[in-house]
Amino acid sequence: MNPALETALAALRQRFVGELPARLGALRQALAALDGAPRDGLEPDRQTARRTAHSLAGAGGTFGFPALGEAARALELRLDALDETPAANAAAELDTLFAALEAQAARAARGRLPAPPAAAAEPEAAVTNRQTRSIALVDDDISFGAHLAAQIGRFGYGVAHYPSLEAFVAALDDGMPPDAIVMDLVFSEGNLAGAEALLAQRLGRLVDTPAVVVSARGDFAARLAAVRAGARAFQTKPPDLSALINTLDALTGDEPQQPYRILVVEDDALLAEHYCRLLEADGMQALALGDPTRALEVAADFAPDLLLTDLDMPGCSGIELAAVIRQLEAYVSLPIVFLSAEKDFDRRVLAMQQGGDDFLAKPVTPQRLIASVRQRAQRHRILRAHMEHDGLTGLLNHSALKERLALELARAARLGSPLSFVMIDLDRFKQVNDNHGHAAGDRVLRALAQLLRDRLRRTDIVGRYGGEEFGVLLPDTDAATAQQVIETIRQAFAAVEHGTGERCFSVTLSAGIAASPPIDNAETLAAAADAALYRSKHAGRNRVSLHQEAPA
Amino acid sequence: MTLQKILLVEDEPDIRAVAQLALEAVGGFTVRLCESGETALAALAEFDPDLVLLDVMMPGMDGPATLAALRALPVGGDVPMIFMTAKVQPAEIEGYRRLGAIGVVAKPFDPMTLADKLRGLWAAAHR
Repeated sequence: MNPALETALAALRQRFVGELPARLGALRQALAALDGAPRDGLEPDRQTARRTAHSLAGAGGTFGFPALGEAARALELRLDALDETPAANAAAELDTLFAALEAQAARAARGRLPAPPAAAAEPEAAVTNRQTRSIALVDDDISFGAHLAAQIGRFGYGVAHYPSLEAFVAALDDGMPPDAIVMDLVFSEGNLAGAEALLAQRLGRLVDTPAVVVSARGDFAARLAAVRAGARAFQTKPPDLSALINTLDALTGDEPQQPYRILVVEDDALLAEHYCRLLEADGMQALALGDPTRALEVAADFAPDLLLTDLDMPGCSGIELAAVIRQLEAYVSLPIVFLSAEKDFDRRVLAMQQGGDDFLAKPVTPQRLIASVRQRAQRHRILRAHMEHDGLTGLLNHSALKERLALELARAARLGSPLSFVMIDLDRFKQVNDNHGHAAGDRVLRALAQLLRDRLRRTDIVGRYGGEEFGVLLPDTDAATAQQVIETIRQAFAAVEHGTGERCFSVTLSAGIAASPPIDNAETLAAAADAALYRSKHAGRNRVSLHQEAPA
Repeated sequence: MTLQKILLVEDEPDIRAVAQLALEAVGGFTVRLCESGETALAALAEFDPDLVLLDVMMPGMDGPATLAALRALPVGGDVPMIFMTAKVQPAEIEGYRRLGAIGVVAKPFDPMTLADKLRGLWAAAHR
């Protein structure tokens, strides 16, 4: 299908979905008036209901919602035959048919993977409980806008495309602001009109709404305008869809931003307390440590975003501490800020050479301390996120996951709590790419990543281990519990329909689980989970296996 | 004689829009859209189509009534007409033929193949 036609059809489809609630509302009213009985005087209501059902049947099918069309057709036929059945049955039947139609309309509106059938004794809410997040896409290039809107919509967003700034502002006046905005820059009003519109709205309705600029312009002036308008990201056309979706996910996600964690190493207890209070007052989380020799073990548990350390301490100086910390791979990029009354310039230079990021001279003003710490912690978070995460799925990448495995295993051993590690591999994934294309394959990977994120706890760690391989770390979880959790996920994923219409398909996964205790070594744990995964594959795939100890 | 101009009579705005795309963008036809039988009666002489495509179920004048009314016009005598309907049992198709249609197109239709279907029916009627 040629792209222009595809986008035009997509736009019509969007409109159809948008009008569904109103049409169903009218149908509901007509049915309520009828109440199952074809009395004289109610014939107009019957005809209204019948015609609405008939048109939904036709349109549903035409726009690629066959199930919706069939549900409407069933209701239409029942309304046709209303004279022939006693009133009591009819009312109940019509209710049931209408409920089925509403369910199909809800599915169409969600425009995403349907919720998998609930497993027995499901402890948590179903996967797709999250409300559809709304995106306003403002671009006067009609075909580009419609095309991008359709693409973003495939990832579960409800996208409204506004072909002009006027239309966008008018829509804002009418209703709730969207969850996020994708804004072009160049409009007939001017070459930076998009940014100006954002800025104008920031004081009013859009004060909290995150915006991303997607523009053909990539010059400095354009980027500066975007920054000044408060845009959180900037992409030049054509946008990298994966990156755009990741950005929108991050901007509209419900995970609250975790406070920055600052480890304060200062042997003067009163001073340490003082710094911690200042940082906490600014919304950060601070931990004071008086003994620098314990820094590594404390850092392993606390996972700081920044180390704030005094320079002169008995037992170990701040400079020496920085050098030791930097020996560890995990802390190579950890920001380190020194605090000292040191007036000697050369000593300051030396301190910085040892891997320090800033030097604050005591007595330090609260503003200077907070500003320096916050800015560096924030920068580090952003960089680390880029380094550690897989671009396509937003999950941890292979090396970051392995690091976390070692870290969590050590912590679990210290706390005496169990830890399970799961290796997941999609079954026959090469076939998915071959039969449906790589874009579809990518969407399947993202779908699994999303399902894992939805079904697991905040404290569980999920990573993309390789092409179609995923790794899950479940702290405080023994093997038996892990098996239950992963089994539920296995079933849920197998029930998901990927693709659309005739090209619908499903994908299964195989998994292997290993736990500590008894295994206490990260490499061995990973190998054991892998061996269990291998057994799942060779036993027929689409199953979960536990690592078995080799007979002595 | 080729099929170039199509008069489409359909009351559903959604279906009209998709059919327009299917006929203009895919089929390359020149299309006049009418939302009711009455509008079609007014447009027939001036537009002078090669084919009329009619929805069966419309409020007011339905498809069959529209066909009869169009036929009754001075210029409506031989213009080929095709019905669009969700009911496509063989007996029903025969019924529509007896009313004067040269064929029936099933709803929902595939926008990519509608133009070809119409060409096929039109060609068969002109053999």
